[in-house]
Amino acid sequence: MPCRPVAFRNRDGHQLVGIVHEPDAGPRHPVPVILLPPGAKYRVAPHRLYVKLARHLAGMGFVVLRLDFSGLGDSEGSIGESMIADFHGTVQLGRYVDDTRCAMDWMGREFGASRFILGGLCGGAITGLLAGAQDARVDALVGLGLPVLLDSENVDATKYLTAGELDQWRRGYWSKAMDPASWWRLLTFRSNYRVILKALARPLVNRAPRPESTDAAAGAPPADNSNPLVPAAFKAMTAGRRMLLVFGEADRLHAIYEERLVQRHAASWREHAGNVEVKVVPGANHIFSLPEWEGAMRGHVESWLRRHYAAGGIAHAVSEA
Amino acid sequence: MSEVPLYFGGGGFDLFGVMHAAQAPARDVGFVFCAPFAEEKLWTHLVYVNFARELARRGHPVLRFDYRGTGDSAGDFEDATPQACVADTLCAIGALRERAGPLAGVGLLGLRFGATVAAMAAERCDDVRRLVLWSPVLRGGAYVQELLRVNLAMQIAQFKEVRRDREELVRAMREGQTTNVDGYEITLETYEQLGTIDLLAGPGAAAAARCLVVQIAPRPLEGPGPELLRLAAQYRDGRAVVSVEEPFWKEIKPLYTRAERLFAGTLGWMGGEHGAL
Repeated sequence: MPCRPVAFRNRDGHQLVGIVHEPDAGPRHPVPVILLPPGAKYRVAPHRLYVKLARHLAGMGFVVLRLDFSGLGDSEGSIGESMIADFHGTVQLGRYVDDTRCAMDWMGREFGASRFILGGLCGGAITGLLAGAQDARVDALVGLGLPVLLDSENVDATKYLTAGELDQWRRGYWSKAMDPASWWRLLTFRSNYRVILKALARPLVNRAPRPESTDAAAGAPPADNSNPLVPAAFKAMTAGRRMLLVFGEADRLHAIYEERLVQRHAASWREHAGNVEVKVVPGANHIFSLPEWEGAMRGHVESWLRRHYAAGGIAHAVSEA
Repeated sequence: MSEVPLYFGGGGFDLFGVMHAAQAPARDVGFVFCAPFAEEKLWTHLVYVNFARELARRGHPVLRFDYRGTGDSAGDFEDATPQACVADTLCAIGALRERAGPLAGVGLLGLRFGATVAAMAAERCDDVRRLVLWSPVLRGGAYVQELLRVNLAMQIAQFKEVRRDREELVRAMREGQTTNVDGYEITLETYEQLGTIDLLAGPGAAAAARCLVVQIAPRPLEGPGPELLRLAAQYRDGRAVVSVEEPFWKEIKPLYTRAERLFAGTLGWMGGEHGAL
């Protein structure tokens, strides 16, 4: 199956490098797949997971783009963080949503596509979720090992939040104004002062606002290291679009997903719960490193795509907003 | 910055690379970068990218590339035997020459197993004038035992015990199975070829090359280890030094996009008494 290197500019003028896999022959699906890089590793992913997955998806008839975000892989740009956890924290707060949207812009020009399936492991999965919540062109998300926590507290969360997200945080802070526990955290230096100041000062963030969530719990800044953006993003994605989430059984992120997201917030997307499918690969670790684990993961992805993306079709969610 | 991703032919496989064009004033030695083994390649990728950019800024064209079965090159990881990696490096040298314009010579740079491949490739190509070996794997036999230990660690993580020890893993490879190391399947062919590698056996045709051997250590040392000194001494103009950096080819807490002391030391050697390039 042919693949070719590609390059295009993001909104900061940085050249982003990627590889496009195209089907050899037969019908070509109109909805391309974009595989988003996992964390600090580049577009091939651990043990070439994305290369093998992209080849498989191209064999099914999908056009697949694997790209490097700005500052990663072979792309231009730089990363200022000195610790991996801090960098991961920025990714988890939406650092690469813009680059993802640029990738969709490019694929739209190159292939005439107007809707996309985003996929990714770990940092790629959370980037896909946040991008999907902001951009209606995202038709579906395939998330492998989706993280719902923040890896670091040393991140300027305000740098990547949209105006809508800051408005949510501000409402959450006002709702806690009479909560003694919140004041104790504030006075004992355990609050995120940068976010509080920016949220209360109504920032000049020049981004398109997301659809606002009416779920106050989803918008309220959490007391622990749960990613505050995830509940509302999840709700936005499930209302009208589909998600496949695949976890390794031995991946702690699965238990964290169940405890911190599903148990706390599932009520807010209950009516659309049928749009989320969760698969767990027995014994598998976070990166599906054994062939049987990788094969099982790929099997779930293939099965889900065949059910929801018959050749030439575009999936429609069970329930739409 | 002019960087072009491309494919070039090599041993029946389409090999992926990125060509970094030299910035003016152009120098007449270009470099090919040889990647480390398996997942170490991913951890070190940004260091390689940024050092290639440093060299390009100083007038040297650079080709970074993926061996067959690795990165974005065609093939499967099982195809990436040590001998195949050397063969692909020789193809990459040809690809560099086709694209870089007139060159008086070529340099090879590698880290860990990449340094080993660079040293072996230099033995087969008298076009190689410069050799930069960052923490080279000196003996493949010891290295492959390290790789097998990674599999044992994975067994303990998964099963809370070692179910197949190293002898059993080797026996299984002799029966046609592969050994999984962090998601990469090691074949008997790779295992046996690694076992034959000994850089201290002599550089052969590469003895005429200028060579920098760098021992990367997390803390200052009085000097490079005796075996690295022996390795450097095998070359007409060889030098061994120590560079203090974290082992950025592993999963560590700091994010390594550059290795400033390693870069400075290597660039200093390139521009100093051992010959301005």
